[in-house]
Amino acid sequence: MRRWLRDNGLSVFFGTIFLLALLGQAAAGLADYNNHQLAAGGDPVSFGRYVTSSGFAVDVAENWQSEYLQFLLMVSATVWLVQRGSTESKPPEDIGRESRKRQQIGRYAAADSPRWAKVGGWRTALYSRSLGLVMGTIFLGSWLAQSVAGRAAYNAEQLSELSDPISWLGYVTSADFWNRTLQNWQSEFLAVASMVLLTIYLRQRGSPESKPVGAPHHSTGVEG
Amino acid sequence: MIAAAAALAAALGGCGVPESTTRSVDEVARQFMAAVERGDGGLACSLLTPEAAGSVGSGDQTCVEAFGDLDLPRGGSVRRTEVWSDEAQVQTGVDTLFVTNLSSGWRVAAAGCTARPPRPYDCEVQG
Repeated sequence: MRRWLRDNGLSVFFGTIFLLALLGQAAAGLADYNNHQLAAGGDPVSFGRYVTSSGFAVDVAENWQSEYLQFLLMVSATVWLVQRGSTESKPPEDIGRESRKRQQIGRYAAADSPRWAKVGGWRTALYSRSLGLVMGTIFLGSWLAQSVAGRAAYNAEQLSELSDPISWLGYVTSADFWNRTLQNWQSEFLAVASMVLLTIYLRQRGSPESKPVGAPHHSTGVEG
Repeated sequence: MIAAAAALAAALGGCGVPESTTRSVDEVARQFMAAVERGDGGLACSLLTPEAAGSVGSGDQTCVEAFGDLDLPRGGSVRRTEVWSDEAQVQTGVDTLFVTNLSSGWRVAAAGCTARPPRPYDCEVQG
């Protein structure tokens, strides 16, 4: 058990604080929602009612979609784009999808390589793109969830303000949808850009996200 | 993760309202329209939200006493109902009603409403 925790500590840590933060968001969101309800002459709702509401769903989904878009772009862009000196980049001479030998594909695969890296054909082609495909799928799924739940929450607000509800197409071209989407995207892109640039000049001893403390600024794709 | 995202989309707030909820909203709308038709201020006011009822009464008059002075559209029938969370809109052919879900049940929040897009409806009764 101890060894399992040691070997999986990173995922356990982030999984745990994710769940705690989600719980905290639900509690704070419930309090905020009920404040608005009382101010508008409505009745407060229960915790169970709130976490199954469109308001909570859209607040969760709009954050999830931007995180997975960030991962999708990072995974994809770093194949072809480089940043000299950054730990988030590979060296400029390695731009592109790299050779089969370098990527340990087919006959270059090791004995303990994943099976689909060895077999070739569509399986290897699919596996070679699986990280981006999954990130992209989760991004699109959660963005769709944001649009559906967002429309429901928006229309409830429209009706409370004596205005007409709108269609899904009307919502995904609305200021509310794009305001929610872009405010999340800008922070994700800023975060990536910050990591790409700050890791050139700054260090965090012992972290694989950093170069070794003594590594020169121009060294690229080196982990600490 | 994919299943969670799909669950968010399908189950939470976006994909349809139970038929029973729409029926409840329609029933309140029908009762209100019938009360308006008969001039039954008592029933009509009991079907309004407290804020809407308060807006009908003014000064020394209660909602029931002031109801007869209102010029709400008469006739009509439930043509189209849209329910989103705890809010609903009922189109009756002669009027547009806004209905909200309180702990005491669905209540009419606004009636005698005239559309004036892109601004909100202008309603004779509203909370």
